[in-house]
Amino acid sequence: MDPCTTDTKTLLKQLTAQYYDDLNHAHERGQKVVWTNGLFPQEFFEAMDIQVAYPENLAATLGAKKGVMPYLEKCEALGYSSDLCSYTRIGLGYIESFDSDILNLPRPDMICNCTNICGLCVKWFECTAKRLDVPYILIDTPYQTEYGPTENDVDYIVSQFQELIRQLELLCGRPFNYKKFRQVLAISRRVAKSWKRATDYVQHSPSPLDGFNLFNYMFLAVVARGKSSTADFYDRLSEEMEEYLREHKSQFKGEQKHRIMWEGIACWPHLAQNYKCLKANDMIVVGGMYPVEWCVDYDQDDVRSLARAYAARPPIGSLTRQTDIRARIMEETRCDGALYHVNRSCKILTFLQAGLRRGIYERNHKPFATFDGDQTDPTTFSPAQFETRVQALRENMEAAKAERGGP
Amino acid sequence: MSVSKVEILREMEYAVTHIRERVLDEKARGHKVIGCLPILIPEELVHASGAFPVGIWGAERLPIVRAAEYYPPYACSVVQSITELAIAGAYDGLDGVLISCLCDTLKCVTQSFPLTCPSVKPIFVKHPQNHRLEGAVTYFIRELEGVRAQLETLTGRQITEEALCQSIEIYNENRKEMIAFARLLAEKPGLLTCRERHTVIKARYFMRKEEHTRLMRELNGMLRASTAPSFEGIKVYVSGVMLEPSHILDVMDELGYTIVGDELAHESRQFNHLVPEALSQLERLARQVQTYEGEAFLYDPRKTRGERVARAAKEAGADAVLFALMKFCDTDEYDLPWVRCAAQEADLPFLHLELEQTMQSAEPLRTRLQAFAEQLTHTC
Repeated sequence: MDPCTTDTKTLLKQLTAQYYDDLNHAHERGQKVVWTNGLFPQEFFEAMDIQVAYPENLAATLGAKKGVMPYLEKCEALGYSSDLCSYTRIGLGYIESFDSDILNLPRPDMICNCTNICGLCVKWFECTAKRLDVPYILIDTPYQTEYGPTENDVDYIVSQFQELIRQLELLCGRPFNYKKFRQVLAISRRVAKSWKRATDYVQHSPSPLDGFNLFNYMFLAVVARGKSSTADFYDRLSEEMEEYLREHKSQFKGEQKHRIMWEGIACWPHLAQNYKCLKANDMIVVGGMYPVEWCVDYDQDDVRSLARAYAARPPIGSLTRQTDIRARIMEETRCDGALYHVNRSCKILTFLQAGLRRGIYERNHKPFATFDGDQTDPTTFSPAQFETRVQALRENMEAAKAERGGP
Repeated sequence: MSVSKVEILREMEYAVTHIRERVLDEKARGHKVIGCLPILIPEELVHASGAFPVGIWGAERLPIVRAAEYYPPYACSVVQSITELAIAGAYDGLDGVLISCLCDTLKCVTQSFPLTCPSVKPIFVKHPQNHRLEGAVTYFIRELEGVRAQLETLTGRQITEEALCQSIEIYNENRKEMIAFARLLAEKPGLLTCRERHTVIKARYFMRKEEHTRLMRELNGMLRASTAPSFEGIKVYVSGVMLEPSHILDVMDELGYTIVGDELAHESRQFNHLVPEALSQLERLARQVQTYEGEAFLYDPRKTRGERVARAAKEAGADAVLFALMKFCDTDEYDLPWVRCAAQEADLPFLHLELEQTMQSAEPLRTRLQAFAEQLTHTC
């Protein structure tokens, strides 16, 4: 298959299969396997030729493919509260048997976690490491109470990198490969730029890129941010979007009457219903946090820049910073409104959402609607509520446009 | 019960039930008043600034109405009630608040509190999760420098090394008395009721520590001199965030429970780590965090909390472990199965009670405590 001409949908499938094949044969090849969260500085693992598995991705995939209930039930039977984040409940249930018919992960040799997405992962991975009896390493990126990360935060993170390197050397039984590390930094920066360039196609109106597809395209930006093949893939996506622009085509097959921002994690078990409902209401998703969140770019190829980039991830940003980022996204992607996922699982995103909605509305006066859901627990979602809220959003966007005298 | 003991307990009871009066009194004396939110706040800095530190852990049985504008119902009730009180203006008389970000909910509080209570200066205390590393100590010293500078601006008073050293000593003295107090109640179960024990510990949040220590010395002296009562009830060790709403304590007393030890965030975890010696006073405060082991809100790669609870419960002579789970507290919800497992491995019967600070009635909890008591009696 020629990556220069193959369509991105096919290519993504191929690269995903390759990733899981590499991961699942890692131990046979004598490679170590680390479990981590999506925004951990993967550069260190790549430099040491460690295969990396992402339990969050496992949960999302099982959620999308209707395979979570046995693990949610198992987790509850272990005595964990059903109030906990569903990603973590699935993960804790899964490690009791490693037996999904849909997707499996190899057992970890080490677990690593970075606090730049959520604090619950600290506890989730603590429980996982204890249950599987493997070492557990933390990179703590402090919460950005004032706005963004401080130089003190960066110093602290760099000091933790030193400990991480020592632990990886112990795990692999060989010195850290600084030469490869520098190469990986350069590749990862290239991936960030390629991802950014590809996802920026949602800024066109009409958009050739269906923003909802970023839920799929982001996969490689999560699991393979340090690989050239990922940069090649996103370059290919940009080329494809150029072709679409030339031919006045779009991945979105409905009418692009309303451009919206989707706020929050996807509602994985209900993706198809969500998409159909939005399409039926002539809404295309063009705005979202994923293009920003997974664009882990640094100024230069040095460890302080790396630490600063990982410290600055939006989920741990102050309310003002998070409001700034989303208001800018809505402006750049020319959104007419926003749909907020009040995600039962994700406290760090949901608990700030009231302030966020208020702050963004005060700036752009764009209509918005909320719906209750959960990233992977299928029971915490009502299709009827979703439809009603989307319809209300559409009516409000139409009214706002009529008021402005637009179409 | 001697009259003096009654007087001490009454004074402490007055402190926990007359917080507003105390704050107004401190203000009238020209003192600044600084609120200290959960979980681990270096209060010594507030003390050294001359301000009066007052604990902010929400309120019992408070109807949640306006906090819903900020938080969905699945935010923990401590944060819900803090938010409700903030909107109602209950904290408007404060000059500042110290807020930590040790869990995702508290991180959000750092952002919502300024919106709900704009007249009060927020000062953020960013603990290092990776607290055992030397880099974390360096980091936290710098963070504390920032906290110190903001407190100096707020109070108009420089926090000298000498003043901070004195405050740390005052706090360490209080901690020593509190540790001794907890041990005495383990050695002589039944000497105080569950409610009285709670009041003695809670009073720390609403009195100057010198004042509290003076009372504690007297109280401990009396407890030491007292003969152990012939206690035939159930001795429990309590784990969790907090044991409130406090009418649960009355239910426990009615049913013949006594508390012989705890590792509640609201209670013993506030005083069971002395501030160690170090080269500077800020380093001492930073190194105190380094000494924590098995702390639920800090990174614990070997997840030792369960074993620590079981060991402490055994040492305290407990018959059982009671896990007071604050509903929607993720931190404790992840630890609960492990604490249960460790307790059971140590042959300690285990009861977990799901609490909300806002709950109006303790009756459902009474039924569970009653059933547990009966079960233990039959087992014995």
